[in-house]
Order: sequence, then structure tokens, then C-alpha cells
Amino acid sequence: MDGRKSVSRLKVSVMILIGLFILSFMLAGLMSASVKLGNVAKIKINGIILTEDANLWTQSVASSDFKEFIGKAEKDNAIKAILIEIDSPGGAPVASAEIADAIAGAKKPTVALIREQGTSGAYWAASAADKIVAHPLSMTGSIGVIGSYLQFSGLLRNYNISYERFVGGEYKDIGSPFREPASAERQFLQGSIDEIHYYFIGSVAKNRNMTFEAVEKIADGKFYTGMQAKKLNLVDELGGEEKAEELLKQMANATEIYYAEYGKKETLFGLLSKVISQQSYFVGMGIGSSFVKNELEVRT
Amino acid sequence: MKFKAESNASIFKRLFAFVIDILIVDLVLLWPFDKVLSSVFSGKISASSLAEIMSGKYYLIFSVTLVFFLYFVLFEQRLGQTIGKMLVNIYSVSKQGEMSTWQAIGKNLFLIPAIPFIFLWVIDPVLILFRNESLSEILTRTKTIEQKAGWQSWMAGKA
Repeated sequence: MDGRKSVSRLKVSVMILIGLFILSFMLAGLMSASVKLGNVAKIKINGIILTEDANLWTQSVASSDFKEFIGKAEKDNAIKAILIEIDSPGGAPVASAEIADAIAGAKKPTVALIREQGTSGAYWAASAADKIVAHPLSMTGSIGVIGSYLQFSGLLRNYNISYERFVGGEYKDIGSPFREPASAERQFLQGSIDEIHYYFIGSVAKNRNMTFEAVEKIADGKFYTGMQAKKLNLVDELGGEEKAEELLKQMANATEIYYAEYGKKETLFGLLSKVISQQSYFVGMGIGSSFVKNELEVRT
Repeated sequence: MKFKAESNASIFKRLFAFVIDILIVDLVLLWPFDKVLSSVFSGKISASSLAEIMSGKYYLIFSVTLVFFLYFVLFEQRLGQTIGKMLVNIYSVSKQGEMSTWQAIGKNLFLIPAIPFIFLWVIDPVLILFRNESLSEILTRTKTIEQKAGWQSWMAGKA
């Protein structure tokens, strides 16, 4: 009798579970029918380009993250093309080159849309896209490299402070803010900057199908408006998002564009740890030393 | 449903049963929603569709609540037990005899994430802690009992 009861209870349980599963399936089906999965990946380059994230208060894009997003978009079968939305003044040379290489290596069609500015390293990245769209008033170009630092030797001399130098290796303290650089050091620093500049020019020339000489002529660090850039063949089309969408439709062979945004999601824990590490950094370093700290910084 | 040896179910068994039930509904019955929701959280859904989902969030909440609610109501009305309760051998019973559909609905109204039912999320645990009875149970004249089996029944009979 008890056995029969157990079988009947089991039957009822299974029937309820199956019924609820079917109901859940139908409700989810109704929902997913109204959902459109993105067919174009939108990846933003906003702020300074660095290899890793900057601090909490500086808007930046990390090349490591960017490469990851490109990789994900490439693997996703629903994604037919990639839009790179740019609003950046550039950044570190290696990070800019890494982003440009990631874009150039993408097998899916890529369109770069330059919003307010896409200069220097950000233009380097844009040049690797299949097509570049910029607003007529966007700032772009600025194909150049800058390396600079403050040098306090005159100030120290005025206060009768001397810099005692002990180095193993002649160039070990190159770029020290406490002494004037020697002529050989100036040549070395300038040579390194030139090398990065030539690499930058070569990369843009290759990406834009231009000759090295043609790019070199305009690679004096000057920025250009979208209109000027179009004449110089630095951008393909003038316009905004609508123009980019038009190109994306053609390149992806799609009638409608639905964006899937690829970006870093900020977690509460990540935000808190950033704030704490920032505070620890300043406490440890001391406010005074932050004024003195000065390093040679190279930017594209 | 009548039991020869019964007592109010312990808070630990009630809690354990509830956690098991939540897991069953979440992992098994709501599995069809997994694809839609994972697309939302992985950013695969286009911005406009995300807006559509957010504007249709009430649909999502309604669907999930409906599945949760029906699971508890159907199991408790038909069998007097959910799967979680079966595992720890506790039952939901009416103080007046057989549990009616209305009693099963009333005692599970706390699952609806809307005012005034959400107040029960605070009131019920407190009452269970001090009186071993939730407000939903008091109002619907139901209770959660523990069936004593084997030596436990025998010991209860002796006492």
C-alpha cells in the first residue's frame, strides 16, 4: 500500500516538474523571440592608450583589454563586423602598436569611427581598420612621438645642491632630472624617438596603402581636422555613426545593424580595491616626493 | 494529512528545505531563461535590445515569480511537501484537515516580490525564529510539521 502511494507521489512530482519546465521554456521562448543579438561588435577607445589600466581618475584604455575584446568578437559567430569608436589623444607607443596590430589582425571587417579626436596613437590604431570615418571637425593625424621630462639642474645649482653621480654603465641615469644631459645622451634619446616615429610612419603607410614618403611628409606631429585628413587620405569617409553604419551594412552584408558592446565591466570590488590601492600609493609615496618624481615619458 | 507522531518542524530543517527548493527552481526549472540572461550579462545583446529587456524587466520578474510560486503551491497542495521538504521529511499541513488550494496560495504569497508581500521577508523569519510559525501560516491556518519516523515515533508515543 505504502509502495503504491510512493509511486503515485513520485508520478505527481515528476508531472509537476515537467509541467513547470515546459511553462518556463515557453516564457523564456517568448522573451528570447523579442531579443535581438548584436551583429556588430562595438569596442571603444576612450582616453589615453596604455598597456594596462591607469588610475581611477584617468580615463584610459588598456591594450590588453582591447586585444581580449577583439578576440572575443572574432570568435563570436553572431558578430559579422567590428566598429571601433575612438575618442582618444593617443598614448604609449607599445600599447598603440598592440591595438593597431589587433585591429589589423582581425579577419572580420573593421570600421574606425573617430569622434571628437583620434590623434597620434589613437590614429595609429584607427589606420589599421579597413575603413576610417571621421567627423569633418574631428581632430586626427598628429603622427609624431614626444618624449620629455623636466630638468632641475639649474634650480639645484641656485640652491647650492649638487647631484652626486655613481653609475655602472654610462647611460644608466639617462634622463635624470638632476643634471643636464650630455650631447651623446641627447643624440641617443632623439635617436630612440626617431626610431619609434619611423616605425609609426611605416605602420600607418602599410595600413593605409600609402608610401612611406607620402606619410612621412605629413608626419610632423601636426593634427588635422576631418576635412583636411580626408584630402590627405588619412580618413576614408566624412560623417558620423550613420556613415559608419552604412559602411558596416555593406561590409557585413547586413540589412540592419545591432551593436553588441564589448567593454570592461566595473565590479564593486574592483572599484573599491582601486580606491584603496590609490590611497595606499599616495600615502606610501608621500606628497612631497610626488612633486620631485620626474621620469622621461614617451607618448605617441 | 494526519500523522500519528508529529511536531513543529525545526527551523534548520525548514531553512535547508527552502534552500534546496530555491536551487531546484533556479538551476532546473529556470534553466530555459539562462541563455537569455547570460546574453544580457555577457554584452552580446545589442544596446537597443538591452533597453527592450530592461523595459520588459517586469515580464522577466513576472515569469520567474510565476515559476517559483507554482512550484511551491502545486507541490504543497498536491503532496503537502516540496522536494526540499521531502528530503528532510517535513510537511505543510492545514490545521483544519486537507490543505485547500487557497491555503496553499495564501501561505506562499511571500514569494511575490511586491508590496505588501515583501514585508513578510522580514516578519516571517522573525516569527519562525521565536514562534516556529510564520505569519503566512498563522493567517492561512497552516503549519509545517515534522513526521517522526521509527524510533522517534516510538519515543514520542512513550512520552
